[in-house]
Amino acid sequence: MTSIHTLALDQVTPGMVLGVDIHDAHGATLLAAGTELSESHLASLRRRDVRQAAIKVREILSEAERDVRREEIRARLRHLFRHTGEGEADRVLYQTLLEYRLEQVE
Amino acid sequence: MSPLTLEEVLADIRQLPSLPAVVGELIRTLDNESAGIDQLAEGIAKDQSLAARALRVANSPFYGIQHKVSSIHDAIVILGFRAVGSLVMAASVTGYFTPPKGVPFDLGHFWRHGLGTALCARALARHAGLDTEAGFSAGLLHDIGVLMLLTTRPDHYGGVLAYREEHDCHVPDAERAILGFDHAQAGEALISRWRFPADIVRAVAQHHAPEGRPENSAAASLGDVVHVANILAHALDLAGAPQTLVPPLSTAAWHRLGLDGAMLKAMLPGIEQEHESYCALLAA
Repeated sequence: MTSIHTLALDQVTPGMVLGVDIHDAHGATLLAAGTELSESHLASLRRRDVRQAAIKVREILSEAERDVRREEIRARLRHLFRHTGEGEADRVLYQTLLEYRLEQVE
Repeated sequence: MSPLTLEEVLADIRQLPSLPAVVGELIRTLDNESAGIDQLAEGIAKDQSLAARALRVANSPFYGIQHKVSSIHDAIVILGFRAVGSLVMAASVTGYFTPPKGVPFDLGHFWRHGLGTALCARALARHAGLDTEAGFSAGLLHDIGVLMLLTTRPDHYGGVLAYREEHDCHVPDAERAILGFDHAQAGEALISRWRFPADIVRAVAQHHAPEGRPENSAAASLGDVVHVANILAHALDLAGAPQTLVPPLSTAAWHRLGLDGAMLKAMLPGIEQEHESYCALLAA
Protein backbone atom coordinates (compact mmCIF):
# COMPACT_ATOMS: atom_id res chain seq x y z
CA MET A 1 0.00 0.00 0.00
CA THR A 2 1.13 3.56 -0.56
CA SER A 3 1.16 6.66 1.60
CA ILE A 4 2.33 10.23 0.96
CA HIS A 5 4.96 12.08 2.99
CA THR A 6 6.10 15.67 2.63
CA LEU A 7 9.91 15.99 2.48
CA ALA A 8 12.25 18.97 2.35
CA LEU A 9 13.56 19.24 -1.22
CA ASP A 10 17.15 18.42 -0.19
CA GLN A 11 15.91 15.03 1.13
CA VAL A 12 14.25 14.16 -2.18
CA THR A 13 16.35 11.94 -4.46
CA PRO A 14 15.95 10.96 -8.13
CA GLY A 15 13.59 8.01 -8.62
CA MET A 16 11.15 9.13 -5.92
CA VAL A 17 7.54 9.52 -7.14
CA LEU A 18 5.64 12.77 -6.62
CA GLY A 19 2.45 12.31 -4.57
CA VAL A 20 0.86 15.75 -5.20
CA ASP A 21 1.01 18.22 -8.12
CA ILE A 22 3.50 21.10 -7.90
CA HIS A 23 2.28 24.45 -9.31
CA ASP A 24 4.10 27.60 -10.44
CA ALA A 25 3.25 31.06 -9.12
CA HIS A 26 0.40 31.41 -11.64
CA GLY A 27 -1.29 28.16 -10.72
CA ALA A 28 -0.08 26.20 -13.76
CA THR A 29 1.02 22.63 -13.01
CA LEU A 30 4.81 22.24 -13.19
CA LEU A 31 4.93 18.55 -12.33
CA ALA A 32 1.95 16.24 -11.95
CA ALA A 33 1.38 13.73 -9.15
CA GLY A 34 2.79 10.34 -10.24
CA THR A 35 5.88 11.84 -11.94
CA GLU A 36 9.08 9.89 -11.25
CA LEU A 37 11.52 12.65 -10.33
CA SER A 38 14.78 12.91 -12.28
CA GLU A 39 17.89 14.94 -11.40
CA SER A 40 16.82 17.58 -13.95
CA HIS A 41 13.34 17.83 -12.39
CA LEU A 42 14.99 18.40 -9.02
CA ALA A 43 17.36 21.01 -10.45
CA SER A 44 14.40 22.84 -11.99
CA LEU A 45 12.51 22.80 -8.66
CA ARG A 46 15.61 24.16 -6.87
CA ARG A 47 15.90 26.97 -9.46
CA ARG A 48 12.29 27.89 -8.79
CA ASP A 49 12.98 27.97 -5.07
CA VAL A 50 10.56 25.12 -4.30
CA ARG A 51 11.48 23.92 -0.80
CA GLN A 52 9.42 20.78 -0.29
CA ALA A 53 7.66 18.04 -2.19
CA ALA A 54 5.09 15.37 -1.29
CA ILE A 55 6.52 11.94 -2.11
CA LYS A 56 4.63 8.67 -2.58
CA VAL A 57 6.01 5.85 -0.46
CA ARG A 58 5.17 2.19 -1.11
CA GLU A 59 5.13 -0.20 1.84
CA ILE A 60 5.64 -3.92 1.29
CA LEU A 61 3.44 -5.98 3.63
CA SER A 62 3.38 -9.74 4.14
CA GLU A 63 0.06 -11.62 3.68
CA ALA A 64 -0.31 -11.92 7.48
CA GLU A 65 0.31 -8.19 7.91
CA ARG A 66 -2.29 -7.46 5.22
CA ASP A 67 -4.84 -9.61 7.09
CA VAL A 68 -4.21 -7.63 10.26
CA ARG A 69 -4.54 -4.39 8.32
CA ARG A 70 -7.85 -5.51 6.72
CA GLU A 71 -9.29 -6.36 10.13
CA GLU A 72 -8.21 -2.93 11.49
CA ILE A 73 -9.93 -1.24 8.52
CA ARG A 74 -13.21 -3.11 9.12
CA ALA A 75 -13.13 -2.33 12.84
CA ARG A 76 -12.39 1.37 12.31
CA LEU A 77 -15.17 1.75 9.72
CA ARG A 78 -17.67 -0.03 12.01
CA HIS A 79 -16.66 2.44 14.73
CA LEU A 80 -16.93 5.52 12.47
CA PHE A 81 -20.37 4.44 11.20
CA ARG A 82 -21.65 3.28 14.64
CA HIS A 83 -24.60 5.74 14.74
CA THR A 84 -25.13 6.53 11.10
CA GLY A 85 -28.50 6.40 9.33
CA GLU A 86 -29.91 3.40 7.47
CA GLY A 87 -30.83 5.15 4.24
CA GLU A 88 -29.71 4.17 0.77
CA ALA A 89 -26.95 6.80 0.63
CA ASP A 90 -25.59 5.78 4.05
CA ARG A 91 -25.20 2.19 2.85
CA VAL A 92 -23.54 3.18 -0.44
CA LEU A 93 -21.12 5.47 1.43
CA TYR A 94 -20.13 2.73 3.90
CA GLN A 95 -19.68 0.15 1.14
CA THR A 96 -17.63 2.57 -0.99
CA LEU A 97 -15.28 3.41 1.89
CA LEU A 98 -14.87 -0.27 2.76
CA GLU A 99 -13.94 -1.20 -0.83
CA TYR A 100 -11.63 1.80 -1.16
CA ARG A 101 -9.75 1.04 2.07
CA LEU A 102 -9.44 -2.69 1.31
CA GLU A 103 -8.11 -1.95 -2.20
CA GLN A 104 -5.44 0.29 -0.65
CA VAL A 105 -4.07 -2.76 1.17
CA GLU A 106 -3.52 -4.74 -2.07
CA MET B 1 -25.69 28.14 34.95
CA SER B 2 -28.69 29.84 33.30
CA PRO B 3 -29.82 28.53 29.91
CA LEU B 4 -28.49 30.20 26.77
CA THR B 5 -30.80 31.46 24.04
CA LEU B 6 -30.14 32.05 20.37
CA GLU B 7 -31.05 35.72 21.00
CA GLU B 8 -28.15 35.99 23.45
CA VAL B 9 -25.84 34.46 20.86
CA LEU B 10 -27.01 37.05 18.32
CA ALA B 11 -26.25 39.76 20.88
CA ASP B 12 -22.77 38.23 21.42
CA ILE B 13 -22.20 38.40 17.66
CA ARG B 14 -23.09 42.10 17.55
CA GLN B 15 -20.50 42.74 20.28
CA LEU B 16 -17.64 41.00 18.44
CA PRO B 17 -14.93 43.31 17.06
CA SER B 18 -15.16 43.79 13.30
CA LEU B 19 -12.98 41.80 10.90
CA PRO B 20 -9.82 43.36 9.43
CA ALA B 21 -10.64 45.39 6.30
CA VAL B 22 -8.63 43.12 3.98
CA VAL B 23 -10.67 40.12 5.13
CA GLY B 24 -13.87 41.98 4.32
CA GLU B 25 -12.51 42.59 0.83
CA LEU B 26 -11.60 38.92 0.46
CA ILE B 27 -15.16 37.96 1.45
CA ARG B 28 -16.60 40.33 -1.17
CA THR B 29 -14.46 38.73 -3.89
CA LEU B 30 -16.26 35.43 -3.21
CA ASP B 31 -19.35 36.89 -4.81
CA ASN B 32 -17.59 37.88 -8.02
CA GLU B 33 -15.80 35.98 -10.73
CA SER B 34 -12.62 34.11 -9.87
CA ALA B 35 -10.46 36.94 -11.26
CA GLY B 36 -11.14 38.94 -8.11
CA ILE B 37 -9.52 36.35 -5.89
CA ASP B 38 -6.52 36.01 -8.19
CA GLN B 39 -6.01 39.75 -8.17
CA LEU B 40 -6.28 39.94 -4.45
CA ALA B 41 -3.93 37.00 -3.93
CA GLU B 42 -1.46 38.77 -6.19
CA GLY B 43 -1.89 41.89 -4.07
CA ILE B 44 -1.24 39.85 -0.93
CA ALA B 45 1.90 38.33 -2.45
CA LYS B 46 3.31 41.72 -3.55
CA ASP B 47 2.69 43.53 -0.29
CA GLN B 48 5.35 42.32 2.18
CA SER B 49 3.63 43.34 5.39
CA LEU B 50 0.26 42.12 4.20
CA ALA B 51 1.85 38.83 3.15
CA ALA B 52 3.47 38.45 6.57
CA ARG B 53 0.17 39.17 8.28
CA ALA B 54 -1.74 36.80 6.02
CA LEU B 55 0.79 34.04 6.66
CA ARG B 56 0.69 34.62 10.39
CA VAL B 57 -3.06 34.24 10.22
CA ALA B 58 -2.86 31.28 7.87
CA ASN B 59 -0.45 29.54 10.23
CA SER B 60 -2.01 30.51 13.53
CA PRO B 61 -4.82 27.99 13.90
CA PHE B 62 -2.81 25.06 12.60
CA TYR B 63 -0.86 23.15 15.21
CA GLY B 64 1.56 20.35 15.73
CA ILE B 65 3.60 19.47 12.62
CA GLN B 66 7.14 20.51 11.69
CA HIS B 67 6.41 22.41 8.46
CA LYS B 68 4.96 25.91 8.49
CA VAL B 69 4.15 28.03 5.46
CA SER B 70 7.07 30.43 5.28
CA SER B 71 6.05 32.57 2.30
CA ILE B 72 3.05 33.25 0.08
CA HIS B 73 5.31 32.00 -2.70
CA ASP B 74 5.67 28.58 -1.01
CA ALA B 75 1.94 28.40 -0.43
CA ILE B 76 1.17 29.25 -4.06
CA VAL B 77 3.73 26.79 -5.43
CA ILE B 78 2.21 23.94 -3.46
CA LEU B 79 -1.48 24.85 -3.44
CA GLY B 80 -2.01 27.01 -6.53
CA PHE B 81 -3.10 30.61 -6.71
CA ARG B 82 -6.87 30.61 -6.27
CA ALA B 83 -6.65 28.14 -3.42
CA VAL B 84 -4.38 30.50 -1.50
CA GLY B 85 -6.88 33.36 -1.89
CA SER B 86 -9.73 31.31 -0.44
CA LEU B 87 -7.47 29.86 2.23
CA VAL B 88 -6.21 33.23 3.45
CA MET B 89 -9.77 34.50 3.63
CA ALA B 90 -11.10 31.49 5.53
CA ALA B 91 -8.06 31.26 7.82
CA SER B 92 -8.43 34.94 8.72
CA VAL B 93 -12.05 34.44 9.64
CA THR B 94 -11.49 31.28 11.61
CA GLY B 95 -8.21 32.44 13.20
CA TYR B 96 -10.29 35.23 14.70
CA PHE B 97 -11.43 32.92 17.53
CA THR B 98 -9.14 31.56 20.23
CA PRO B 99 -10.99 29.06 22.41
CA PRO B 100 -10.07 29.32 26.10
CA LYS B 101 -7.71 26.81 27.68
CA GLY B 102 -9.27 24.21 29.95
CA VAL B 103 -12.10 23.22 27.59
CA PRO B 104 -11.51 19.64 26.37
CA PHE B 105 -11.43 20.53 22.67
CA ASP B 106 -8.73 19.61 20.14
CA LEU B 107 -8.16 22.48 17.70
CA GLY B 108 -5.82 20.32 15.59
CA HIS B 109 -8.63 17.81 14.94
CA PHE B 110 -11.03 20.69 14.27
CA TRP B 111 -8.77 22.15 11.57
CA ARG B 112 -7.90 18.84 9.96
CA HIS B 113 -11.65 18.20 9.64
CA GLY B 114 -12.33 21.73 8.34
CA LEU B 115 -9.65 21.39 5.66
CA GLY B 116 -10.88 17.90 4.81
CA THR B 117 -14.45 19.15 4.38
CA ALA B 118 -13.20 22.08 2.25
CA LEU B 119 -11.33 19.69 -0.07
CA CYS B 120 -14.26 17.24 -0.27
CA ALA B 121 -16.58 20.19 -1.02
CA ARG B 122 -14.28 21.44 -3.77
CA ALA B 123 -14.25 17.99 -5.42
CA LEU B 124 -18.04 17.58 -5.07
CA ALA B 125 -18.71 21.12 -6.39
CA ARG B 126 -16.52 20.37 -9.42
CA HIS B 127 -18.49 17.16 -10.00
CA ALA B 128 -21.85 19.00 -9.72
CA GLY B 129 -20.78 21.96 -11.87
CA LEU B 130 -20.96 24.43 -8.94
CA ASP B 131 -18.39 27.08 -7.92
CA THR B 132 -15.41 25.15 -6.51
CA GLU B 133 -13.99 28.03 -4.43
CA ALA B 134 -17.38 28.79 -2.85
CA GLY B 135 -17.51 25.09 -1.98
CA PHE B 136 -14.01 25.22 -0.47
CA SER B 137 -14.82 28.31 1.63
CA ALA B 138 -18.18 27.01 2.82
CA GLY B 139 -16.55 23.67 3.68
CA LEU B 140 -13.77 25.31 5.66
CA LEU B 141 -16.27 27.48 7.55
CA HIS B 142 -19.10 24.98 8.05
CA ASP B 143 -18.36 24.42 11.77
CA ILE B 144 -17.41 28.02 12.62
CA GLY B 145 -20.42 28.15 14.93
CA VAL B 146 -18.71 25.56 17.15
CA LEU B 147 -15.60 27.72 17.44
CA MET B 148 -17.61 30.84 18.18
CA LEU B 149 -19.77 29.21 20.88
CA LEU B 150 -16.70 27.60 22.43
CA THR B 151 -14.97 30.99 22.59
CA THR B 152 -17.84 33.25 23.61
CA ARG B 153 -19.71 30.77 25.88
CA PRO B 154 -17.13 28.23 27.09
CA ASP B 155 -19.17 27.12 30.13
CA HIS B 156 -22.27 26.31 28.09
CA TYR B 157 -20.28 24.69 25.30
CA GLY B 158 -18.29 22.68 27.83
CA GLY B 159 -21.66 21.25 28.87
CA VAL B 160 -22.36 20.30 25.24
CA LEU B 161 -19.01 18.51 24.93
CA ALA B 162 -19.60 16.60 28.19
CA TYR B 163 -23.11 15.56 27.07
CA ARG B 164 -21.78 14.38 23.69
CA GLU B 165 -19.05 12.37 25.37
CA GLU B 166 -21.46 10.78 27.85
CA HIS B 167 -24.11 9.82 25.25
CA ASP B 168 -21.73 9.27 22.30
CA CYS B 169 -24.27 11.15 20.17
CA HIS B 170 -23.99 13.50 17.17
CA VAL B 171 -22.82 17.03 18.05
CA PRO B 172 -26.04 18.84 16.91
CA ASP B 173 -28.12 16.48 19.12
CA ALA B 174 -25.96 17.37 22.13
CA GLU B 175 -26.26 21.08 21.28
CA ARG B 176 -30.04 20.94 20.97
CA ALA B 177 -30.31 19.02 24.26
CA ILE B 178 -28.13 21.48 26.20
CA LEU B 179 -28.59 24.80 24.34
CA GLY B 180 -31.85 24.37 22.41
CA PHE B 181 -30.17 25.31 19.12
CA ASP B 182 -27.17 24.04 17.15
CA HIS B 183 -23.86 25.28 15.72
CA ALA B 184 -25.27 25.52 12.19
CA GLN B 185 -27.72 28.20 13.39
CA ALA B 186 -24.98 30.04 15.31
CA GLY B 187 -22.63 29.85 12.31
CA GLU B 188 -25.35 31.10 9.96
CA ALA B 189 -25.97 34.15 12.17
CA LEU B 190 -22.24 34.89 12.43
CA ILE B 191 -21.27 34.71 8.79
CA SER B 192 -24.38 36.50 7.60
CA ARG B 193 -23.37 39.33 9.99
CA TRP B 194 -19.97 39.26 8.26
CA ARG B 195 -21.71 39.64 4.87
CA PHE B 196 -20.68 36.37 3.31
CA PRO B 197 -22.48 35.60 0.03
CA ALA B 198 -25.98 34.24 0.61
CA ASP B 199 -25.26 30.80 -0.92
CA ILE B 200 -22.37 30.23 1.52
CA VAL B 201 -24.52 31.37 4.48
CA ARG B 202 -27.27 28.94 3.39
CA ALA B 203 -24.78 26.10 2.93
CA VAL B 204 -23.41 26.56 6.47
CA ALA B 205 -26.96 26.79 7.86
CA GLN B 206 -28.10 23.59 6.12
CA HIS B 207 -25.06 21.37 6.46
CA HIS B 208 -26.84 18.97 8.83
CA ALA B 209 -30.31 19.27 7.21
CA PRO B 210 -30.10 19.86 3.45
CA GLU B 211 -33.72 18.73 3.01
CA GLY B 212 -35.02 21.63 5.07
CA ARG B 213 -34.50 24.10 2.28
CA PRO B 214 -37.61 25.92 1.15
CA GLU B 215 -37.25 25.52 -2.60
CA ASN B 216 -38.02 21.90 -3.37
CA SER B 217 -35.89 21.76 -6.47
CA ALA B 218 -34.11 18.90 -8.17
CA ALA B 219 -30.97 20.98 -8.75
CA ALA B 220 -27.95 20.51 -6.49
CA SER B 221 -27.10 23.42 -4.18
CA LEU B 222 -23.98 24.43 -2.29
CA GLY B 223 -25.86 23.20 0.82
CA ASP B 224 -25.96 19.68 -0.65
CA VAL B 225 -22.25 19.92 -1.42
CA VAL B 226 -21.29 20.92 2.13
CA HIS B 227 -23.68 18.36 3.68
CA VAL B 228 -22.09 15.47 1.77
CA ALA B 229 -18.56 16.93 2.13
CA ASN B 230 -18.81 17.06 5.93
CA ILE B 231 -19.96 13.43 6.08
CA LEU B 232 -17.37 12.28 3.55
CA ALA B 233 -14.58 14.00 5.52
CA HIS B 234 -15.73 12.11 8.63
CA ALA B 235 -16.01 8.82 6.70
CA LEU B 236 -12.45 9.31 5.40
CA ASP B 237 -11.34 9.86 9.02
CA LEU B 238 -9.50 13.04 7.99
CA ALA B 239 -9.66 14.69 11.44
CA GLY B 240 -7.65 11.84 12.96
CA ALA B 241 -9.91 12.03 16.05
CA PRO B 242 -10.65 8.73 17.84
CA GLN B 243 -14.27 9.70 18.69
CA THR B 244 -15.24 10.62 15.08
CA LEU B 245 -18.85 9.72 14.28
CA VAL B 246 -20.22 9.73 10.71
CA PRO B 247 -23.54 11.67 10.64
CA PRO B 248 -26.55 10.38 8.65
CA LEU B 249 -26.34 11.15 4.94
CA SER B 250 -29.32 12.66 3.10
CA THR B 251 -30.29 10.39 0.21
CA ALA B 252 -32.03 13.37 -1.45
CA ALA B 253 -28.82 15.47 -1.38
CA TRP B 254 -26.81 12.47 -2.63
CA HIS B 255 -29.14 12.08 -5.63
CA ARG B 256 -29.28 15.82 -6.37
CA LEU B 257 -25.47 15.74 -6.63
CA GLY B 258 -25.77 12.84 -9.09
CA LEU B 259 -23.42 10.62 -7.07
CA ASP B 260 -22.88 6.89 -7.09
CA GLY B 261 -20.35 4.65 -5.37
CA ALA B 262 -17.98 4.34 -8.33
CA MET B 263 -17.84 8.12 -8.93
CA LEU B 264 -17.26 8.77 -5.27
CA LYS B 265 -14.50 6.17 -5.05
CA ALA B 266 -12.71 7.81 -7.99
CA MET B 267 -12.58 11.12 -6.05
CA LEU B 268 -11.11 9.70 -2.85
CA PRO B 269 -7.40 9.30 -3.71
CA GLY B 270 -7.16 12.92 -4.91
CA ILE B 271 -8.90 14.22 -1.79
CA GLU B 272 -6.61 12.23 0.53
CA GLN B 273 -3.49 13.38 -1.32
CA GLU B 274 -4.55 17.03 -1.25
CA HIS B 275 -5.41 16.77 2.42
CA GLU B 276 -1.97 15.41 3.23
CA SER B 277 -0.35 18.22 1.29
CA TYR B 278 -2.50 20.98 2.86
CA CYS B 279 -2.00 19.64 6.37
CA ALA B 280 1.76 19.31 5.94
CA LEU B 281 1.98 22.81 4.53
CA LEU B 282 -0.29 24.39 7.12
CA ALA B 283 0.93 22.25 10.00
CA ALA B 284 -2.62 21.10 10.79
